[in-house]
Amino acid sequence: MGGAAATASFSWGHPEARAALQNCFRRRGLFLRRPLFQAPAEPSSPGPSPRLRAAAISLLPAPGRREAGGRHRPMGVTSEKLCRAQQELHFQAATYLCLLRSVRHLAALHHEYHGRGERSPEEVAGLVGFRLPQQPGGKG
Amino acid sequence: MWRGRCRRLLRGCVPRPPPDGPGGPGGGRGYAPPAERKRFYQNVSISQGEGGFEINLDHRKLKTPQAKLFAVPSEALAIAVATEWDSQKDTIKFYTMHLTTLCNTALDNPTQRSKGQLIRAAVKFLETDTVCYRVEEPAALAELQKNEWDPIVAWAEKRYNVAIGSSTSIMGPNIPASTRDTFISHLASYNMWALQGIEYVITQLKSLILSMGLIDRHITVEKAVLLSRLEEEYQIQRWGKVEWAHDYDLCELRARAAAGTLFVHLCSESSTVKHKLLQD
Repeated sequence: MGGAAATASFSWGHPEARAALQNCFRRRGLFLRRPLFQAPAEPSSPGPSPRLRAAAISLLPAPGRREAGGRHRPMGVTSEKLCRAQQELHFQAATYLCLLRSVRHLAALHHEYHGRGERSPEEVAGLVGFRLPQQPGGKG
Repeated sequence: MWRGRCRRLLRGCVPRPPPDGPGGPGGGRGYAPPAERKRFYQNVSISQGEGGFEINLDHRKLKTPQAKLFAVPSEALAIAVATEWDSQKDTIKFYTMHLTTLCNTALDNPTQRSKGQLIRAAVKFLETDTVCYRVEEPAALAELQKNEWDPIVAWAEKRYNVAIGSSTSIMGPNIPASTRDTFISHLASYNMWALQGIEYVITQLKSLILSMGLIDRHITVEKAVLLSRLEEEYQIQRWGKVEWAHDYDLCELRARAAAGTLFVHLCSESSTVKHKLLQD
């Protein structure tokens, strides 16, 4: 009961959704590095101090924060600029996720509840234990 | 025979049931749903041609139902369509491929409507807009409609600087001509493909205001579908849910609204890459 696959929960990190989203948006270069400010690097340490890096990350807009925090890259100015509103991208991604999720859900419901048609005469005979006669020359 | 069937399939013909169906030799009474076409391709890829981005199914180019070459103006849209084709497992389920359907409609224009006709059809929905039709009883539903629909109507009035209002009579709200003109001129700023998408979303949600909210990214798809089905949701909460009907409707509406919105946004944007030269 309760429509089997329909109760599966799809998270944002669902592999197929993520792959499809990446496919859709990767080519447009939307996951570029964002321009960050130059941090003065102390000569003694290999990169900016953790406190400085945390402060820099906290100043970034939200998606950039996720990226920068995840990759732990040293801060630097990049040459590429994103000319698209963040909300636009988020909305498009959310819309695409909704599309994928609801199509999957619909296919599961369809598989569960959609009529499969009538049984063939062979299947009906098999229900009561009979077999249809086979005539070698075909029916007269 | 195999190549002929492939050609017909690529033209997108409706698959016919096999000639020796379950009722065939026995008596011909049995019904079976039409046999679905099996997936006949391994790889799906996109390529850029003269008319736009094309889809290749195993070196064969995809065509619309009217045998035109399938070419879309946006690369992201082409990738999304290719993903749809790629995600078909053993059989091809055309009813899950909403973006492909929308692209086919935009390319073929089977109803042969001009831009003006599309805009007029879209704005005509304003007279029978769902969020403008209110009930008087039951009181709980009237209250729910007031709380949920008033904000979106107010947003539309403010955003487009028009007067819409709502009504409880069967004739519907009285939409002034200036409102209609404003919407007509707003919709005229979209290209033909985006207009097909907009008209599709309006027809699915049965509301121009909700569709405009989606196109302007004011509300999410789930919220728009919820507002469109407000009375059904109220009745479901009151009387219970029938999964094979209510959930099916909900998922289908969400899929179609999401596909339409995505289609409109992908068709009405352009992206460029500007390379900055490195300073030595």
